[in-house]
Amino acid sequence: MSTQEQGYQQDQVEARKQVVEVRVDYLPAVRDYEHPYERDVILETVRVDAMHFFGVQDRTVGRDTYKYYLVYGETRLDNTQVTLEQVIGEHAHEAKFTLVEEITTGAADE
Amino acid sequence: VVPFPAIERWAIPQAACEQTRTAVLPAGRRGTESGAFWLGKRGADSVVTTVAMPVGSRVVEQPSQWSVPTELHQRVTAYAKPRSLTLLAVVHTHLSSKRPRLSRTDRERGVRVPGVLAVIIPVGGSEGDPYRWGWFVFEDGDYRELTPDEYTQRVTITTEPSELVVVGAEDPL
Repeated sequence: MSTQEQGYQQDQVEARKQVVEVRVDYLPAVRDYEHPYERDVILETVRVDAMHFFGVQDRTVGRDTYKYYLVYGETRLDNTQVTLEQVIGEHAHEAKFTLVEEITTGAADE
Repeated sequence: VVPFPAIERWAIPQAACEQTRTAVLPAGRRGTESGAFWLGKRGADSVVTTVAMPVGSRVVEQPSQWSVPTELHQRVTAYAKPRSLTLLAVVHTHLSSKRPRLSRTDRERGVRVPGVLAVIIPVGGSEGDPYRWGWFVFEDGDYRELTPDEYTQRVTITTEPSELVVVGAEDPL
Protein backbone atom coordinates (compact mmCIF):
# COMPACT_ATOMS: atom_id res chain seq x y z
CA MET A 1 0.00 0.00 0.00
CA SER A 2 1.39 3.36 -0.98
CA THR A 3 1.91 6.18 1.46
CA GLN A 4 -0.84 8.06 -0.35
CA GLU A 5 -3.30 5.17 0.08
CA GLN A 6 -2.36 4.84 3.74
CA GLY A 7 -3.00 8.54 4.21
CA TYR A 8 -6.38 8.23 2.50
CA GLN A 9 -7.37 5.33 4.72
CA GLN A 10 -6.23 7.21 7.80
CA ASP A 11 -8.39 10.16 6.72
CA GLN A 12 -11.36 7.83 6.32
CA VAL A 13 -10.86 6.41 9.81
CA GLU A 14 -10.61 9.90 11.26
CA ALA A 15 -13.74 10.97 9.41
CA ARG A 16 -15.68 8.01 10.80
CA LYS A 17 -14.51 8.93 14.29
CA GLN A 18 -16.13 12.33 13.88
CA VAL A 19 -19.53 10.85 13.10
CA VAL A 20 -22.06 9.88 15.74
CA GLU A 21 -24.81 7.44 14.83
CA VAL A 22 -27.84 8.98 16.49
CA ARG A 23 -31.04 7.15 17.25
CA VAL A 24 -34.16 8.79 18.69
CA ASP A 25 -37.17 6.82 19.85
CA TYR A 26 -40.66 8.18 20.50
CA LEU A 27 -43.31 6.31 22.46
CA PRO A 28 -46.15 6.35 19.89
CA ALA A 29 -43.90 5.38 16.95
CA VAL A 30 -43.05 1.90 15.71
CA ARG A 31 -39.86 3.11 14.05
CA ASP A 32 -36.96 5.11 15.49
CA TYR A 33 -35.33 8.10 13.84
CA GLU A 34 -31.77 7.20 12.86
CA HIS A 35 -29.22 9.51 11.32
CA PRO A 36 -25.44 10.13 11.46
CA TYR A 37 -24.34 13.53 12.74
CA GLU A 38 -21.04 15.32 13.10
CA ARG A 39 -19.91 15.48 16.70
CA ASP A 40 -20.05 19.24 16.79
CA VAL A 41 -23.66 19.55 15.67
CA ILE A 42 -25.88 21.20 18.25
CA LEU A 43 -28.66 19.20 19.89
CA GLU A 44 -31.31 21.54 18.54
CA THR A 45 -30.54 20.20 15.07
CA VAL A 46 -31.15 16.65 16.23
CA ARG A 47 -34.30 17.65 18.10
CA VAL A 48 -35.79 19.49 15.12
CA ASP A 49 -34.86 16.72 12.68
CA ALA A 50 -36.40 14.06 14.96
CA MET A 51 -39.58 16.11 15.39
CA HIS A 52 -39.80 16.48 11.62
CA PHE A 53 -39.36 12.73 11.17
CA PHE A 54 -42.14 12.02 13.66
CA GLY A 55 -44.36 14.76 12.24
CA VAL A 56 -44.72 16.67 15.49
CA GLN A 57 -43.91 20.25 16.40
CA ASP A 58 -43.73 22.56 19.35
CA ARG A 59 -46.90 24.54 19.72
CA THR A 60 -48.01 27.72 21.36
CA VAL A 61 -51.49 27.98 22.80
CA GLY A 62 -52.26 31.42 24.15
CA ARG A 63 -49.33 32.29 26.36
CA ASP A 64 -48.21 28.69 26.86
CA THR A 65 -45.67 26.84 24.74
CA TYR A 66 -45.60 23.06 24.66
CA LYS A 67 -42.24 21.65 23.71
CA TYR A 68 -40.75 18.34 22.81
CA TYR A 69 -37.56 17.45 24.64
CA LEU A 70 -34.70 15.09 24.06
CA VAL A 71 -33.83 12.82 26.95
CA TYR A 72 -30.38 11.19 27.20
CA GLY A 73 -30.19 8.44 29.78
CA GLU A 74 -32.61 9.83 32.31
CA THR A 75 -31.62 13.46 31.83
CA ARG A 76 -33.94 15.84 30.03
CA LEU A 77 -31.82 18.11 27.87
CA ASP A 78 -33.26 21.58 28.27
CA ASN A 79 -30.23 23.28 26.74
CA THR A 80 -30.18 22.26 23.09
CA GLN A 81 -27.44 24.69 22.12
CA VAL A 82 -24.75 22.31 23.36
CA THR A 83 -23.04 19.96 20.92
CA LEU A 84 -23.54 16.23 20.65
CA GLU A 85 -20.00 15.72 21.92
CA GLN A 86 -20.67 17.80 25.02
CA VAL A 87 -23.52 15.45 25.87
CA ILE A 88 -22.10 12.04 24.95
CA GLY A 89 -18.40 12.64 25.53
CA GLU A 90 -15.36 12.42 23.26
CA HIS A 91 -15.30 8.69 22.69
CA ALA A 92 -18.88 7.61 22.06
CA HIS A 93 -19.82 7.00 18.44
CA GLU A 94 -23.45 6.17 19.07
CA ALA A 95 -26.11 8.06 20.96
CA LYS A 96 -29.65 7.11 21.82
CA PHE A 97 -32.17 9.76 22.76
CA THR A 98 -35.86 9.68 23.57
CA LEU A 99 -38.21 12.37 22.32
CA VAL A 100 -40.73 13.23 25.02
CA GLU A 101 -43.47 15.69 25.67
CA GLU A 102 -45.49 16.70 28.67
CA ILE A 103 -49.02 15.36 28.42
CA THR A 104 -51.79 17.34 30.03
CA THR A 105 -55.50 16.69 29.83
CA GLY A 106 -58.28 18.55 31.47
CA ALA A 107 -61.98 19.24 31.42
CA ALA A 108 -61.70 22.77 32.77
CA ASP A 109 -62.60 24.36 29.47
CA GLU A 110 -65.24 21.86 28.41
CA VAL B 1 -41.64 1.10 7.74
CA VAL B 2 -43.35 4.38 8.56
CA PRO B 3 -43.32 5.63 12.17
CA PHE B 4 -47.10 5.49 12.48
CA PRO B 5 -48.71 2.69 10.44
CA ALA B 6 -52.40 3.23 9.72
CA ILE B 7 -54.75 1.60 12.21
CA GLU B 8 -57.96 -0.07 11.05
CA ARG B 9 -59.04 -1.70 14.28
CA TRP B 10 -58.14 -1.78 17.96
CA ALA B 11 -58.40 -4.90 20.11
CA ILE B 12 -58.65 -3.91 23.74
CA PRO B 13 -58.80 -6.46 26.55
CA GLN B 14 -61.64 -6.03 29.01
CA ALA B 15 -58.90 -6.64 31.57
CA ALA B 16 -57.11 -3.47 30.41
CA CYS B 17 -60.32 -1.51 30.81
CA GLU B 18 -60.78 -2.85 34.33
CA GLN B 19 -57.13 -2.31 35.29
CA THR B 20 -57.41 1.26 34.09
CA ARG B 21 -60.59 1.90 36.04
CA THR B 22 -59.08 0.36 39.18
CA ALA B 23 -56.03 2.59 38.78
CA VAL B 24 -57.94 5.84 38.25
CA LEU B 25 -60.88 5.32 40.62
CA PRO B 26 -59.06 6.43 43.81
CA ALA B 27 -58.39 9.81 42.22
CA GLY B 28 -61.98 9.97 41.05
CA ARG B 29 -63.19 9.36 44.59
CA ARG B 30 -60.93 12.20 45.76
CA GLY B 31 -62.55 14.41 43.17
CA THR B 32 -59.62 14.67 40.82
CA GLU B 33 -58.90 13.50 37.30
CA SER B 34 -56.41 10.76 36.56
CA GLY B 35 -55.30 8.63 33.65
CA ALA B 36 -53.13 5.92 32.17
CA PHE B 37 -51.39 4.96 28.95
CA TRP B 38 -52.42 1.99 26.85
CA LEU B 39 -49.43 0.34 25.21
CA GLY B 40 -49.40 -2.40 22.65
CA LYS B 41 -48.58 -3.52 19.14
CA ARG B 42 -49.39 -0.98 16.47
CA GLY B 43 -50.49 -2.09 12.99
CA ALA B 44 -53.63 -2.29 10.89
CA ASP B 45 -54.99 -4.46 13.69
CA SER B 46 -53.58 -2.88 16.82
CA VAL B 47 -53.65 -4.72 20.11
CA VAL B 48 -53.50 -3.21 23.57
CA THR B 49 -51.42 -5.44 25.85
CA THR B 50 -50.34 -3.19 28.69
CA VAL B 51 -51.72 -0.48 30.94
CA ALA B 52 -49.01 1.90 32.15
CA MET B 53 -50.03 3.95 35.16
CA PRO B 54 -47.79 6.93 35.92
CA VAL B 55 -47.58 7.72 39.62
CA GLY B 56 -45.63 9.98 41.94
CA SER B 57 -45.53 13.50 43.19
CA ARG B 58 -44.85 14.98 39.76
CA VAL B 59 -48.07 13.60 38.33
CA VAL B 60 -50.68 16.34 38.62
CA GLU B 61 -54.15 15.09 39.56
CA GLN B 62 -56.53 17.98 40.01
CA PRO B 63 -60.29 18.40 39.66
CA SER B 64 -59.93 19.59 36.09
CA GLN B 65 -56.52 18.41 35.07
CA TRP B 66 -54.27 15.38 34.78
CA SER B 67 -50.70 16.00 33.75
CA VAL B 68 -47.75 13.67 33.27
CA PRO B 69 -44.28 15.24 33.30
CA THR B 70 -41.69 14.51 30.66
CA GLU B 71 -39.50 12.38 32.90
CA LEU B 72 -42.33 9.92 33.50
CA HIS B 73 -43.14 9.86 29.82
CA GLN B 74 -39.49 8.96 29.29
CA ARG B 75 -39.74 6.14 31.82
CA VAL B 76 -42.81 4.73 30.13
CA THR B 77 -40.85 4.86 26.87
CA ALA B 78 -37.92 3.09 28.53
CA TYR B 79 -40.30 0.33 29.59
CA ALA B 80 -42.12 0.07 26.27
CA LYS B 81 -39.43 0.21 23.61
CA PRO B 82 -37.40 -2.88 24.59
CA ARG B 83 -40.68 -4.79 24.50
CA SER B 84 -41.63 -3.41 21.07
CA LEU B 85 -44.64 -1.65 22.55
CA THR B 86 -45.93 1.71 21.40
CA LEU B 87 -48.41 4.16 22.80
CA LEU B 88 -51.86 3.40 21.39
CA ALA B 89 -54.07 5.47 23.67
CA VAL B 90 -54.08 8.01 26.45
CA VAL B 91 -56.98 7.26 28.78
CA HIS B 92 -58.12 9.77 31.34
CA THR B 93 -61.11 10.54 33.48
CA HIS B 94 -63.58 13.34 33.56
CA LEU B 95 -65.52 13.83 36.75
CA SER B 96 -68.73 14.72 34.95
CA SER B 97 -71.39 12.14 34.15
CA LYS B 98 -72.19 13.96 30.91
CA ARG B 99 -71.40 12.41 27.57
CA PRO B 100 -67.62 12.72 27.31
CA ARG B 101 -66.14 15.17 24.91
CA LEU B 102 -62.63 16.45 24.50
CA SER B 103 -61.81 19.78 26.03
CA ARG B 104 -59.55 22.27 24.30
CA THR B 105 -56.81 21.23 26.73
CA ASP B 106 -57.28 17.58 25.78
CA ARG B 107 -57.00 18.45 22.10
CA GLU B 108 -54.03 20.77 22.33
CA ARG B 109 -51.94 19.26 25.10
CA GLY B 110 -52.45 15.58 24.40
CA VAL B 111 -50.48 13.33 22.09
CA ARG B 112 -50.87 14.58 18.53
CA VAL B 113 -49.95 11.57 16.45
CA PRO B 114 -52.08 9.94 13.74
CA GLY B 115 -54.14 7.02 14.98
CA VAL B 116 -53.57 7.59 18.68
CA LEU B 117 -56.75 7.33 20.74
CA ALA B 118 -57.86 9.68 23.46
CA VAL B 119 -60.28 7.80 25.67
CA ILE B 120 -62.33 9.46 28.39
CA ILE B 121 -63.90 7.55 31.26
CA PRO B 122 -66.67 9.66 32.79
CA VAL B 123 -67.70 9.91 36.44
CA GLY B 124 -64.10 9.76 37.65
CA GLY B 125 -63.66 6.25 36.29
CA SER B 126 -66.87 4.84 37.73
CA GLU B 127 -68.51 4.14 34.38
CA GLY B 128 -67.76 0.50 33.65
CA ASP B 129 -69.17 0.16 30.15
CA PRO B 130 -66.56 1.11 27.53
CA TYR B 131 -69.35 1.82 25.07
CA ARG B 132 -70.31 4.79 27.26
CA TRP B 133 -66.78 6.14 27.33
CA GLY B 134 -65.56 8.85 24.97
CA TRP B 135 -63.50 7.53 22.06
CA PHE B 136 -61.53 9.99 19.95
CA VAL B 137 -58.88 9.38 17.31
CA PHE B 138 -56.24 11.83 16.13
CA GLU B 139 -56.54 12.35 12.37
CA ASP B 140 -55.58 15.17 10.02
CA GLY B 141 -54.25 17.39 12.75
CA ASP B 142 -57.05 17.07 15.28
CA TYR B 143 -59.03 14.61 17.33
CA ARG B 144 -62.46 13.49 16.20
CA GLU B 145 -64.96 11.29 17.99
CA LEU B 146 -65.58 7.79 16.74
CA THR B 147 -69.22 7.44 15.70
CA PRO B 148 -71.21 4.66 17.41
CA ASP B 149 -71.08 2.57 14.22
CA GLU B 150 -67.39 3.20 13.85
CA TYR B 151 -66.79 2.23 17.46
CA THR B 152 -68.68 -1.02 16.89
CA GLN B 153 -66.73 -1.79 13.74
CA ARG B 154 -63.26 -0.71 14.81
CA VAL B 155 -63.06 -1.33 18.56
CA THR B 156 -63.25 -4.86 19.92
CA ILE B 157 -63.26 -5.55 23.64
CA THR B 158 -61.53 -8.90 24.05
CA THR B 159 -61.00 -11.49 26.76
CA GLU B 160 -57.22 -11.43 26.29
CA PRO B 161 -55.04 -10.73 29.33
CA SER B 162 -53.45 -7.36 30.00
CA GLU B 163 -50.43 -6.34 32.02
CA LEU B 164 -50.53 -3.46 34.48
CA VAL B 165 -47.30 -1.53 34.96
CA VAL B 166 -46.96 1.18 37.58
CA VAL B 167 -44.37 3.72 36.50
CA GLY B 168 -42.94 6.07 39.09
CA ALA B 169 -40.08 8.49 38.75
CA GLU B 170 -38.43 7.06 41.84
CA ASP B 171 -38.92 3.39 41.03
CA PRO B 172 -36.61 1.20 38.96
CA LEU B 173 -38.33 -0.43 35.99
